[in-house]
Amino acid sequence: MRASLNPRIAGVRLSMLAHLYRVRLRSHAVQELLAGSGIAVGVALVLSVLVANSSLTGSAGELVHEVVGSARLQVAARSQQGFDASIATAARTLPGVRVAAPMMRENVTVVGPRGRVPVQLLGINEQALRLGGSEGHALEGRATAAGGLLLPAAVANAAGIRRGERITVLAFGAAHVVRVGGVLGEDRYGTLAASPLAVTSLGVAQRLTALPGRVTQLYVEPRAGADSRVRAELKRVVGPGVDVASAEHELALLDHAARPNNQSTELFAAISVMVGFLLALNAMLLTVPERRRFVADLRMQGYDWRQILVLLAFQASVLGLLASAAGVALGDLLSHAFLHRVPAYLTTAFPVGSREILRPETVLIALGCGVLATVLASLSPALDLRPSRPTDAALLDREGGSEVIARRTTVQLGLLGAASVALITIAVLVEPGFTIAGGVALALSTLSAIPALFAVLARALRWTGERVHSSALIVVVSELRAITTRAVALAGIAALAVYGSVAIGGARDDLLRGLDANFDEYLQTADIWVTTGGNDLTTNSFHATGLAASLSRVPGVSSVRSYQGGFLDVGPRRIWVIARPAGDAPQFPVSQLLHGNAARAERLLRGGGWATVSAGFASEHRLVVGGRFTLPSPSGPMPLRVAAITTNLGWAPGAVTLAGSEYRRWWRTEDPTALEIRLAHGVTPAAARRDVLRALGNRRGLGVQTFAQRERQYIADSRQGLQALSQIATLLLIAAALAVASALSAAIWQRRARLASLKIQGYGTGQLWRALLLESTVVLGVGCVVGAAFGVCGHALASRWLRLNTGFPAPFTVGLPGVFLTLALLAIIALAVISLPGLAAARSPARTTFQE
Amino acid sequence: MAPLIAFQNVSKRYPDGEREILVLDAVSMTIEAGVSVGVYGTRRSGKSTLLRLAAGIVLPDSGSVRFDGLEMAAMSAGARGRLLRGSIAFMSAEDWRAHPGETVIDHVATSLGSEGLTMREARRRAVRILDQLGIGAGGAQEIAASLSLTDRTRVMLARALAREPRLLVLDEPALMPNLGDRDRFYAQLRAAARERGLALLIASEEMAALQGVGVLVSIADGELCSTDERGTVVPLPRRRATGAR
Repeated sequence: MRASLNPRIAGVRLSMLAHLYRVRLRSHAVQELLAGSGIAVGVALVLSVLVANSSLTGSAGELVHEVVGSARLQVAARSQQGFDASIATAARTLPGVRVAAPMMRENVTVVGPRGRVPVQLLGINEQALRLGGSEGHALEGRATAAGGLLLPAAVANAAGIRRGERITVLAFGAAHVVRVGGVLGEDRYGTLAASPLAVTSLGVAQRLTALPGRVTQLYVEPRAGADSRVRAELKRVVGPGVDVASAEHELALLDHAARPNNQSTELFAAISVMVGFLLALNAMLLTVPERRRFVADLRMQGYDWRQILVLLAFQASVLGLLASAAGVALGDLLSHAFLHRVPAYLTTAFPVGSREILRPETVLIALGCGVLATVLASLSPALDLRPSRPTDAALLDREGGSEVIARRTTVQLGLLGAASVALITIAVLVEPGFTIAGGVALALSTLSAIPALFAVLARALRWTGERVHSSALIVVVSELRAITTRAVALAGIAALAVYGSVAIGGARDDLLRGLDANFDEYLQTADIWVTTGGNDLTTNSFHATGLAASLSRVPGVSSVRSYQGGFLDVGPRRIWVIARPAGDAPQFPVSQLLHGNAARAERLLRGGGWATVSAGFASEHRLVVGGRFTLPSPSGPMPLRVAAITTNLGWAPGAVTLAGSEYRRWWRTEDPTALEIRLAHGVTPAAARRDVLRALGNRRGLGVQTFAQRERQYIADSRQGLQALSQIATLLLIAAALAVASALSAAIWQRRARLASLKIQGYGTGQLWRALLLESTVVLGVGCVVGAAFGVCGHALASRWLRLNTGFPAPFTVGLPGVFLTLALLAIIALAVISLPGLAAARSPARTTFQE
Repeated sequence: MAPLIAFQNVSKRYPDGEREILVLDAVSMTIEAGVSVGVYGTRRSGKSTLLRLAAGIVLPDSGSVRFDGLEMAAMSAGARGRLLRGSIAFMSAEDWRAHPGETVIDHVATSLGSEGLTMREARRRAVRILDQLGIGAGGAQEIAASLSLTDRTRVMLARALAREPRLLVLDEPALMPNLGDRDRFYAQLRAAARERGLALLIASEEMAALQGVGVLVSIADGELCSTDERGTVVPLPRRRATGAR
């Protein structure tokens, strides 16, 4: 090999490093495989979480770029009713404007043989072509020529629709038949094909929504250097009821809305990194005595400390890189199969696509995490390189004495763990922003508590062993007489898995309980809800002239009230606006009240001029109960006062509740987003629902749900939104259980000689097998108890963070069944897996003791 | 000219629970280049510690150990490590370890990697030294882990000699059960040392292992007694403890 291809690193040839690693691989293939599997699982968890996170905002980002093209400014309507299209004509004549492309974007539903799929209808005209560059805009020609709808492949497949078919589109409460002009395949329209955008001509969109002459967006490309001037001119032209913002403002709004989801998954990513690291560390720890002797042997042959470090780093880097590459492939698979689910609650307000985005930097981060974890985990033999240690320390340490944790260290670690919990709790109570870092620190603190619990348990076992006749117990007491780093590492993995599951699972359950209570109260103002259907927050309006009156004549109907609502962009937030009719009681979910008096707030809301606001919105605008603020309504700034401060009512950017009469006046629309039907006493909702459906006749664009049906839909949506978290938690637990099981199995297998020597002393196979299972149960038990205790603490912190930072309703409750289920799952998987190798090791013949 | 290695009032203690054991007590001795020295002592007499001090593996608590006139305690850990790469070789039969599947030639060659040799260059040197010790091409390709105790010891000697040291330190080097094999090994060792002008420092609890050395010393309870009379049995006083720490 040429010298340039075989450089010296710290005086050792690269080929020599490779040779030494080949020797290691040949002799310790199983350990390397075990370590590599651990690293791969950790990297897979990290990558899948990162991909799921970046895909959510990344696909929306790509989609927005497709739509806005070279536009840098936008004029956006504040309601579904849009603004007059003449504004587009006026804007085009402004000096400094190169292109002004009007568009219409509304939530509609397409109906196909396989069912209904909610989409965002995007109406564009020839001006969009001039925004240039984007393939999407070339669609206008096709859309116009086809005279129908271009559907993305994802939507067409889900609904079972093919090109050229005539399908039903439900828009604004009415059903329309439209021809499908084309299906946008993934080969040519990657981003659009996986998007929820159905493209059509502006004229068709206006016809479907029954909003002739109206548009919801105007994308403007100013000439170079004219941005500020054009922005000012646009504000003057559009007046006070329409927003002028950056063309990509929607991405900032989505980022804000998706933040709680992203932060939660980031916490999981952090825990995944730690689990991956500990899996690798644990696998490496099993080989520490052997590797220490190998290192000592090399040192005795003249390898200096730099060469040893290079050797350790080289071996770890190769292992880390190969295992991480496998982890990246596995993670990509995982994100495809499980994690890449777009939260339904976001698709009602944002054009979020299902396109998976695997960025090079994401892969590099995952690879980097894997390699770093492996290198760190492999450096423990480097402790022997300290100048104070004899060169041949590991050769003399045949009993592994240096792996034993001293009593004083156990006490110190226990105190350190207790102090860490106290410090983290105080830090997070003072500054909730520290919660994620605190959660990670708390997870690490679990490790410090394990030796102390081992010590207590070992004493208890000794006490029991002196009083109970059990040969297995005697063996276990003897084996656990000293606490080793290996036992702590094994228990540590179990602790970390339980910690993650209890903390995150508990916070997730709190959130679901809070959301369930919120939506139960929110929906109980009606026995039957008439809406446009779909996974909405009752924000899609429909034309309902005379409908309320006709429904009120249906037998059994006591009253029909018009509910209104929608989204409104205020600063970085897309706020959920709720406008209830005066007859609704309560006007807002009282259980969600944080500040103010419920009865007084109800009274003030009905009177007009007052609103309840979410805590996040209130703190951003420094509002207190009684404070004044303005909302940017379609009629201009709407003056309001704060009647009460609530949670975010389940919508991350926050909610504002105001009187229906005020909404009608400031939004200049009578169109409801729901009709609330109250039934007469004794009328069953199911029967009444059938009567209401009959009364609606051919208005197929409307859906009718009983209170129970609608509540089920909201519950399903909130669970779907948190599905990724549940799946990661489960994967984490299963991965950790398998890792603990494999590490325990390997540790048991390495002890065959010791077990054989016990056989010489008269122990039978059954006794040894029971002893191994008991010892494994003790190790697992220590990890599980510590993990559960710290997990409950982490759960309390996470729930508090959810309430304070995200404004979600998440009342803290210790879910003991969930904790026990987690413990049982981990224990069952691990013990089931180790029972066979345990039996095989226990059956080792007595002669084994002389062979090793 | 300075002796190859010089001990001056060297003491070494090791912790033993709550107490400290004095393992070497004010030991002084010198070894000149090319001279072979045998250290006779029973188990736990301090002979292994003496050898580990001579190889720079551990440092004394007090006193000085000089190699080629240079104070070992004053050297950096790296410099002491470099001594093991060239000037000093240490061998103990108890430290035998070979990876499963590793051939004898690779086992010897690997020890030369620290000198910056490629594997091919290291193998070439390993073949030469193995050949000198009577291990031919067939033996070089054998699996190291399956060697007999006798062959294992010869391979360890090859490993030690491969780095061409000036001082060879051997702690109970031959544990083979056959007396004939043992004698042949020591004869080979002495011949190799003579040919290379090597200084030898051998420790054993069997007087037979020390036959033919130039200087014989005995050690007991950490104290060194010199004798020119081979086969002399030196009375061994009881081990002393130096009190609580």
